Amino acid sequence: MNRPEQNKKILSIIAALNSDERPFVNMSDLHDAEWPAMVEAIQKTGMAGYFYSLFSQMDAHGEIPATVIETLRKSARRVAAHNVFYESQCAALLKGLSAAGVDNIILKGMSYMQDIYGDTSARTMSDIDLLIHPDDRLKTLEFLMACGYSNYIIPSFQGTPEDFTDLTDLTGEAHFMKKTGALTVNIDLHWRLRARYPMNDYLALDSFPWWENSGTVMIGSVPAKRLSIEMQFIHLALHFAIHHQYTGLRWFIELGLFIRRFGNDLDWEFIYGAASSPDCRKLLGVCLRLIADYMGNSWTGSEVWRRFLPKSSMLPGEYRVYKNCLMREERSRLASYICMPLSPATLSGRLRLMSSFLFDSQGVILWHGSDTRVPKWLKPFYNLYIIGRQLLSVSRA
Amino acid sequence: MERVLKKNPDIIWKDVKGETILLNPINGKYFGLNKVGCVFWEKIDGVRSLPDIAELLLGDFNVEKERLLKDLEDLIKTLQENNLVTID
Repeated sequence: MNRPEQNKKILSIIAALNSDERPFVNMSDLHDAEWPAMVEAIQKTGMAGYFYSLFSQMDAHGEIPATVIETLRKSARRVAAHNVFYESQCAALLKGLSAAGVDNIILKGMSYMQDIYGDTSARTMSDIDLLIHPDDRLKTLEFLMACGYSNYIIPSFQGTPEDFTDLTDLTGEAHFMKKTGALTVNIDLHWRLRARYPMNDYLALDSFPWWENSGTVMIGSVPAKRLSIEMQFIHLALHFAIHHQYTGLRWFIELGLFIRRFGNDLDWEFIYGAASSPDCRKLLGVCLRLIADYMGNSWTGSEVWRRFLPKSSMLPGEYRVYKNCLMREERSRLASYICMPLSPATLSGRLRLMSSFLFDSQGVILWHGSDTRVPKWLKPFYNLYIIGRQLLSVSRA
Repeated sequence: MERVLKKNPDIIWKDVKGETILLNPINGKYFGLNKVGCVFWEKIDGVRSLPDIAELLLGDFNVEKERLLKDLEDLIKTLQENNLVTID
């Protein structure tokens, strides 16, 4: 079974096992599943804990081979142990930041896992995402260094350390890591929430009311600040749309489960107002439509996504591109170069983004290294050459 | 002299779905304890002796004393081998 079929089947099983209908409508998916490949795909998502719980449901148990349940149980225990470590590190970090006077908001997984999965062992935590005020950047940096964290460069980055510092300034985030015994803690520190260049210019995520709409969550025994559920949804959906270009099951499933858990509580008027630009509404709309299509209309009503995603904002065949991205295993540079120019809700927006890629070296060069200086008139050709080279190197790899 | 168990202070643990997951971050190894093991782990406080803990467990679980003591010896051996507890 190829990857898209596998992913479709996994989503179909999630939809069926979360369905309110009994007996399950799509139980046939469980009968003809290729379980070894399915288990491998599940383990790649890091969601063994969630699937172990899901498959252990009384209604599904008899349909799934015992060996599958046992394999997932073992993986789930490994995930749980890993997360116990992350949770304890996060609690210590939050205590320390509080003592250092650094106001912060915990983002993504750690902030809502307990709510949407019922425990914090459902999926692997890969890092601790923190939002701080820009003015606290230096103080936080000093604190992290004192705690033994070091700043690191993403391995796939091909430029110089100076280029990476430029990129960090541009994106408003830095990555830190610390070895503790045999284990490693990763932190993504954000002093700004920004879309990747060149999309940050037209999405202006910085101006969203992140700090004004927050709540509280317990991390271990430490109270932490998190976004309100509306802002969590906006952040999660935009992260999936912009950062992952709708690729990969893990973030999509999590987004779906978030909607499943909070859909009735979300203040959609607030979300519509906060996502004030047609471009931003379109990104949220595509996410909502994907959830409705793959998880069923009961998860997010079609009236909701239609409001965010008017027909006029989409090109013919555009939605199919996003569906294809969802079925891919990992995000790719190619998907990035296709999805980004497609993302705006208007033709002028799309042209503006395309011109950013062609005429502004930061659109493509920064990730590669900016030592080459080219005359302005040559830029579009040079940028296309760099894009082609990046794509070729990825396909060769 | 009666043996007193102490938890390794480096160990972190959490109850997850009816199991207690113990993690030793120094070597990255982790262990799952079942319900009895979980209650046993809770009662290790560096003060109570092993027979004291066994008595408490006999009150909590409907099990023969000999069987419980045998299981506890096995469990303690595993915990010790993996540096999760020390015995004074």
